[in-house]
Amino acid sequence: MGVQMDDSRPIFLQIAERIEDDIIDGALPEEGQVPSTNQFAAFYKINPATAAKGVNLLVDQGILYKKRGIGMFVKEGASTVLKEKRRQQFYDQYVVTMLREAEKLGITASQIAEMIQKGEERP
Amino acid sequence: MNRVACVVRSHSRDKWSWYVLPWFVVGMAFVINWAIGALAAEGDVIQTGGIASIFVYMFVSGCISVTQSFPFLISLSVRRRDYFLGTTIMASAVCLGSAILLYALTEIEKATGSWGIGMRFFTIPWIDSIPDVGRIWMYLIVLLLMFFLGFFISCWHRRFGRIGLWLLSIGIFAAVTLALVLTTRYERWDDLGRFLGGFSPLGLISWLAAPTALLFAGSYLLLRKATV
Amino acid sequence: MTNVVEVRNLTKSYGDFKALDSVSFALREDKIYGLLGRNGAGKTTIMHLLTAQQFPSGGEVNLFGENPYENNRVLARTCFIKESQKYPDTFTVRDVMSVAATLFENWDREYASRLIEDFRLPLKRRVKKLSRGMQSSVGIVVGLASRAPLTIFDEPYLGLDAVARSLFYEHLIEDYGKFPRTVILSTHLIDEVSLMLEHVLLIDKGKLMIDEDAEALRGSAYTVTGAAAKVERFSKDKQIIRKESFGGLLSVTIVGQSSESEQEEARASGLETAPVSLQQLIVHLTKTESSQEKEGERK
Repeated sequence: MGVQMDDSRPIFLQIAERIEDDIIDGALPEEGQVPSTNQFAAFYKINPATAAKGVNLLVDQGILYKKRGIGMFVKEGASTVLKEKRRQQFYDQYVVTMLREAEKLGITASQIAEMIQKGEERP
Repeated sequence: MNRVACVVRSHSRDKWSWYVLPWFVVGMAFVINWAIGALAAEGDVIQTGGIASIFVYMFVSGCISVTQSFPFLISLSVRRRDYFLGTTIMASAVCLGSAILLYALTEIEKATGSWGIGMRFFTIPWIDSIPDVGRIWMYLIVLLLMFFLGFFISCWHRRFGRIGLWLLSIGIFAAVTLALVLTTRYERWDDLGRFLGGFSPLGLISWLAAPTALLFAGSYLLLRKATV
Repeated sequence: MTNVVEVRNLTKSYGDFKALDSVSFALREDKIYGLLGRNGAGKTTIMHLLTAQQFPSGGEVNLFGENPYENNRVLARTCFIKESQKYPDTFTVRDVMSVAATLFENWDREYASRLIEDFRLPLKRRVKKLSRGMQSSVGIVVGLASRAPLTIFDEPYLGLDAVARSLFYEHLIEDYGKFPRTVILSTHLIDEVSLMLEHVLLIDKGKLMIDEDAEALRGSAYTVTGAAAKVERFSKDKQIIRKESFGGLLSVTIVGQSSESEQEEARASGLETAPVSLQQLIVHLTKTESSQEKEGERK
């Protein structure tokens, strides 16, 4: 994902997603501090209130928490929670789409399994 | 800061237009007239009309000030009332200062025997007989009248646009023509002459305060509904 | 909480022509509002009416709960930067800043200096002698440094190059974050500012077409493309804002409340879906009438 936000989807969701991505791949460690909403706003050239909405969404979901007077931090265990959430998304986004496309092209499920095996063994 | 004061301060930043240029114009007229006078025959007393330039300048100043400063200040969230008061205070102060300066220059002229060459630039025989404060008052009234005449016309233009201004001109022309025609028709010129002659110069010019006040009030009423 | 701006049935007519037709909306505190629409839609008229620089033909305007006409309490808290601001002939940049400093109580001298440096404004030069872009920069500096509780920008970037425009957005975002206020940004350059807007007001031909939270608008529209018959069936009961056919294909842009699930539905039946940005949504909405007219002509 680049620096430019996608104007065809709610931005606060995109902010939340990027923070989630950073938590999942370790760029934002647990108990680590998250940039302030003004920093997000300046970096992505978006409205600070929108950035705040995205951050607050994650607070509501228990991914982040606020340390009074200091800022927002990643909750312990957030990484695990997010990976689990992404599993379901993975199924919807990639697997279902793949199966649909396979149907169109007449590829059977076992043929897909063979392809997956082949993909695993790629260099 | 009081917003009327802000308007005055805003005007006073334009030192060139309010303080320098008018006297520069008078100065140029003076220099030219003096040069001509110096070349003329000895003993002659020349009466120039150069002093009129300051009064004409005041009229022009009245015309221009609205165009220059009204859109600017109203756009910066200044009320029309504050603009009007600030501008008229500024103009009045400048008129007063100019009146005093005129008086001083007239005295100098008399003291130097008309600038050493008999050129009467600032003095006007008709007015000279009046003592000092009275004379300053007269200069002040006429200067104010000229300013508010220009100011009123400019406000009218602001309010009613170009067509409105055109209609005003036609209206004034018609009214003046009518007055002249009627006075001639009913042969009242003698009466008028006698009536006016009954006043002293001081009294006559003091009456000009009335139209000045009307123009002042009229300008405000026009500005109240002017748009930017 | 009083609304910062309240407008009810606002109308402005010039003879027969209705520049504004019974527009009503309310603006809250500390938000960036986008006043969008095509050229001549009525945006500038609204802003002039809000600041009592022009008078309405009908309806009412309230700023901070009061009528703004000749009202210092309310006007002193408003800063309106216009597209083509007029300055006295002899005024330098410094003169303008000096006057502005006295008129806006929240004026930040130091911030103004920093902005003047950033925008490279020559303090001692007469504003009338500056280029169009520099003149716009003067307006922007005044608008930002005023920190007025209600700050209105009307197409403030006439003549500004892309770098200066970007500078403006950066400063606006930064200062708004530090000193929140109500900002109205009026423009037809939607894509550049769309990410900054919290709420969108769309004016078209004098009427208010959209008065909506920006985030709600983003993602509320999508395009469906596929075989004409299939697309027709899918889009039958939906709000269509654009239709385009190409060969045997039909492409339809739909506005929907639950667009995510609708798009899933479409994909499931083999149709292609594509997202629609805020900018595209607005373009489609304000083009709709004229293209419908064209279709009528063709028939």
